[in-house]
Amino acid sequence: MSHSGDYRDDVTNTEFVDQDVERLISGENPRDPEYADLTPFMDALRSYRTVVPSIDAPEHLVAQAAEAVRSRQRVHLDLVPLRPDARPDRRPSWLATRAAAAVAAFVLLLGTSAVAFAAHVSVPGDALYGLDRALEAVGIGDGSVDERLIEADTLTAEGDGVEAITLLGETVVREASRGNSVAANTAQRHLEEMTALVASDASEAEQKVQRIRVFLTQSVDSGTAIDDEFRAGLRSIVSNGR
Amino acid sequence: MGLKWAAGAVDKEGTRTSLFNARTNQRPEFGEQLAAARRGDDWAWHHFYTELIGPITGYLKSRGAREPDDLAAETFLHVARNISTFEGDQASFRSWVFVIAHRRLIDSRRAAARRPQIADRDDEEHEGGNVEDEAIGLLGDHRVNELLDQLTEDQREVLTLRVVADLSLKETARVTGRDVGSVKALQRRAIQRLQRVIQHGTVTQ
Repeated sequence: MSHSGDYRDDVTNTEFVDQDVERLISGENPRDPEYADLTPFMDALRSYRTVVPSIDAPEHLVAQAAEAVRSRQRVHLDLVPLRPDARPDRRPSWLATRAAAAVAAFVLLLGTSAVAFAAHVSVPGDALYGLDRALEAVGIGDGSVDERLIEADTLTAEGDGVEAITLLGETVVREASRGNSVAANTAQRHLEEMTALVASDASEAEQKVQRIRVFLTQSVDSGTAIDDEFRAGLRSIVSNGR
Repeated sequence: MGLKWAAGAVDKEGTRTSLFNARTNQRPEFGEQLAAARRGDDWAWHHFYTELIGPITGYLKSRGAREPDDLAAETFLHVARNISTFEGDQASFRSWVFVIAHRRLIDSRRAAARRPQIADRDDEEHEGGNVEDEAIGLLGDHRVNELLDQLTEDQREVLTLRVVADLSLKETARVTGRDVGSVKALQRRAIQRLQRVIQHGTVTQ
């Protein structure tokens, strides 16, 4: 790149180019005439700032945004415990855990429709678990947080605490993203109790809970998709404490 | 709709001093607007919409998003759902919004990669460029995209954040997780590469 020596006395070539780059970005003419060819492109790119999107009813989108905030306030969104600096809201866990497991066992005994029922009570890792979630998606099976809690309890009873906690973390993020604060906090409390159960000591449990909170909070804040990458990240924290 | 976002003043350290300085004198202070948005006041969200939706859509479009309008609306709602978690000043807010837009873009690309590919008729429609833009002397979308396609993903990200999203060096560094020096280097290489393409028609390393 060639340019006049007038400007080069007190700046390096890189600084000179950087100054021209800043000029181009801000819509000014560059000092080096060779960069002038870029002006039409930069103007066109700058015009993208004022793109008017084809949104059918912008006023509806605005109303939806305002309502999203208000509805969160109405249900008193309790995401505070999700913040890394917050203290957990601990509750006695053994009874609730055992009761949920007992309910799961009782429901098992009462089943009528073999496949649908088997799917309904399946847990992550089972062959029919995908069918369970698919049935929930079309309205068969409640897909409620309670069902996720029971699945998590079953997993724990089967010795797969890591998968149980991962399932609950997924539930926390999903419900928080939907604005269902009560459900999100219920799942979170369950998650923290379960983490304490599977940890070897109180110190390990506390550290893991803290790391899980940070991970979940960041996931909710950034709108992370609940996909394999999310699950792998959470699973890694739960199993290794990293 | 259609209200224009214009560049705010940027001090020597690259911090925006006036986020909404292109607006009328009736513009509320940022803190006041943020507090109102957190309460769910319609007027505050209306202001955010008019000021953010254009740059967000333009940014997503310049990054090659397949459905920038939908993604911009999604980003806006995500901002609303998470406004209670935001803490910071005007510059941080702007960076935060584009972090969300960026992440929504990445998520949409991941989702698209999982879906079967279907030929997009829109590509053919864009071939001829935008007649309205060309009439007023601007390069058409097709040519702009053709040039942006010559850049690496990192160069394109930085250049569009600087030019379309109108972020300062410091804000761009925050959004991309880089230091200011790296951002400067990426934008310099992007400009030099584009200059070579425009002058010679090809990229010469």
